[in-house]
Amino acid sequence: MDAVAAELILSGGSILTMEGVCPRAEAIAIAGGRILAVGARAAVMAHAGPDTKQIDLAGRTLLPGFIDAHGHFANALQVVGWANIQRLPAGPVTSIADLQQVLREHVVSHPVAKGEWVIAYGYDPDGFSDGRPLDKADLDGLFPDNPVMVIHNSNHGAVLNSAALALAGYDASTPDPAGGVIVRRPGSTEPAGLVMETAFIPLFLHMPQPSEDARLAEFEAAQRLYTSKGITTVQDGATVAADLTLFQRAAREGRLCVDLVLLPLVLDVPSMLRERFPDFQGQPLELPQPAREAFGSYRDRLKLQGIKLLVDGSPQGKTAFWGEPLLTPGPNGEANWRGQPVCAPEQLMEAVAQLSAQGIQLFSHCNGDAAIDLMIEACRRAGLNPEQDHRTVIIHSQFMAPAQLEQYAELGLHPSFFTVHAFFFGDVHLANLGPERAGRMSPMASAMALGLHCSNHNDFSVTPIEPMRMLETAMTRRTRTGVVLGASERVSAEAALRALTIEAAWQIREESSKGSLATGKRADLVILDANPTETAPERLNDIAVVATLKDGVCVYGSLEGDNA
Amino acid sequence: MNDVSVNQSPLGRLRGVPATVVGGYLGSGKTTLINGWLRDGACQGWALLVNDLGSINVDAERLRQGDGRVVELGGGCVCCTLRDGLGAALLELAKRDQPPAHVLIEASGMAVPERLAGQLSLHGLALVRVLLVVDLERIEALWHDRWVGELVQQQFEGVDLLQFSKRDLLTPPEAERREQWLHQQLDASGQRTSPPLHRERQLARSDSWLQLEPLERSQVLAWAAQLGPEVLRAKGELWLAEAPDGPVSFDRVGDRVSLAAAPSRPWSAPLQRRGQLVVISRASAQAPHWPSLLPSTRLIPA
Repeated sequence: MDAVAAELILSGGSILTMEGVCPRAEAIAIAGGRILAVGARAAVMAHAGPDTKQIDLAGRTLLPGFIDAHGHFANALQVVGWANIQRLPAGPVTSIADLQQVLREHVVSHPVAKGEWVIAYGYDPDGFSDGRPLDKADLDGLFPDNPVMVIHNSNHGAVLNSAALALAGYDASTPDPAGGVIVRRPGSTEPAGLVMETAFIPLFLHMPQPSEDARLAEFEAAQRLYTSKGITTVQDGATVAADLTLFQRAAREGRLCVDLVLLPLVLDVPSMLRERFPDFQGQPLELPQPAREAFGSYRDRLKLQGIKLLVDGSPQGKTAFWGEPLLTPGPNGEANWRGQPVCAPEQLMEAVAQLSAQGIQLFSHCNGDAAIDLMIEACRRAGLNPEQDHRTVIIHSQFMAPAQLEQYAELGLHPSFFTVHAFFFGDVHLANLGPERAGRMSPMASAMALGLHCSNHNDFSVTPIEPMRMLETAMTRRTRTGVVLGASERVSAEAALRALTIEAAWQIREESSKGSLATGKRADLVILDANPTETAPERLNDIAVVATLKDGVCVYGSLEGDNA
Repeated sequence: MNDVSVNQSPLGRLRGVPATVVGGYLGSGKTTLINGWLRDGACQGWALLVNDLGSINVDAERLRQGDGRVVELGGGCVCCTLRDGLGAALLELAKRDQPPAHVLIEASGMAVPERLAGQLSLHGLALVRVLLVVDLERIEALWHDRWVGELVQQQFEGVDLLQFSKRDLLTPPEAERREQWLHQQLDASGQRTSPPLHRERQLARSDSWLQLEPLERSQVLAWAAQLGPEVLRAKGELWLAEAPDGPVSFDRVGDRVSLAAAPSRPWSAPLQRRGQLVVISRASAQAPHWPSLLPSTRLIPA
């Protein structure tokens, strides 16, 4: 048979292959960045040669590298330069004093000159033991001469210090803008620091835009956020025109150590085309042949996979689009609020028809059941059916109404779920929607029972990159306060792992080369210090990554597990 | 707003530039109206921020010469795309040698114009007009649309004036019937103030006045009462002798005048006491008279 000897053989631990016929293996052999053999120890050892490196897993667990089914790599480039002030367990903060300490340490590791911005992310006052929210004065003492922005975990607002409020021009005489709020100190109109929604948006004008070189310098740290969690295929799930140029340059310069999958944002597609094909004259959303051909294959670890459509907003921000009103007022106190679509139905119908007719795979953001209905309607009118193998992915598919999954099956739509919402926002969803509607969030068990290909995602930076919390929440659907949302939608550890591996690979048409351990597939692997299928769900997030391999090369930790 | 900080703002040069927002659902006819105003010469020296540069009447050669973001329209008029957001478009304008005489913004079909107007004010521009373009043929269907009905209704919030497009496509009685229907809906929906109608295709006239001396409440009411039918709306925040602590809001639609009992917010500093009025009238109207013509007041064309 083949005379190629393995470069590396790993054995002596649990090997979870994610292959239906052979879910467990005893050993795996790797050569040339691919899996040479996987299975029984004796059969795999037949590939050993004199130079083969043999690694004893020493009881650790090896799986296919995780695939980021939906997230925003562009945000990772920003976040690595920001202070993490998330509450436990995603970050270290339980009090205002903790937050101040993080900021103090942050400016030691990321020094700022007078007048430069200090930015922190993940502010959540519910996690404070102080019993009061952060005030500008809590930041002024530390930073009298630097504007500070402590971004709210919704990403829709921030607490500002006095220097930042002055830059924005917000004072006691500034009225609240429509659709936004400048939170005031009790009994006065003096800003307290927190600004939300339309009062938050103008701040970005005052932020310096990092140069392309400065952003390129963050690629290593940004990818490490992923590799340290065992992720070997990363997504930028709403690529804008300027970022496409940046990512292409990074790839050309060999800066990618993982695969990066881009989904250009539909709104930015015309400017991407204009820049690259200035002489092309076509209908809006008509792609020239070379642009169509640019989709679907990697070049220097970078690939365009499909186009991202946006149908609604976020459920925790109450900007998702539901069929029935919420039990609580809208984001600006509206009664009978059920949210709104963010794109015009006629434009969505046109985009789905135009793009799918050109063979472009679609990834559509839909959180509420009305947004999902709108997308279903657009796909129906465009004549989509499963035989076309179009693999349209409905990202989030968060609050599905009864019978919508059956319509997915009929049209060939597949969900990428967001089960960590149960933990991070589940209690909020319960208050807004009641137990029945909240219990229908990310209905993974029902979708799998219908044979749909379900992935699961963190939507970084909306929630932290935590594959094991995805696993936990798919299995338990437990909120922070311990309420189980939709007990019948809980799935097994094996099923939850498939959503992070082989099913996520299927959604980006890579199931034949990634997502499971089989001969000929890429050697994208993760080694964990415990077996997630034998760990109590509440302990899953404590599992550590020992090593991450991309195409057979260790990109995080060490195979021996000694310096992870 | 704090003067020092606004001067540091990258948009400092646009401070006080009058601004008009043109809203309306997708396909309501905003672009057609804007192109008409350009033809009429109503936008000399203005900057137009639009969603799609290609929709503005400009020859293809000019469009190709630009960088895809800004197009010179001639006559000192410049057109800039909103595709990278309002902030980016305003930054683009602030970088130019000459600040525009006026900024006109075409809201996207899915935007709530009141919110866009709020953003302009926060950026320091002087908002003089929020228009909502309404397609009388489609409004009834859109109002009840299962997908966008609530949004279409919300778009009427905080609008100064309704501008009908395609009214001439309907018979006069039919147009009348639909106008009445719309008025009933707006009254029933609990809008703060039902905006007045503007039936002409021309851009409504807008004049602003900066008030640097206090006025008596009675002076303001007397002034409001004498405004003629050519005035579609008058609104602003006034400095009243009776209310030294902050500006008092004023609004007049038709015969209905509202003058708040007390200030809604404090002055930013006692030395910054002043009021501002905007009068929106038919395109053919003369410049309005103001509540007082004290020597210290000055007129700002808008």
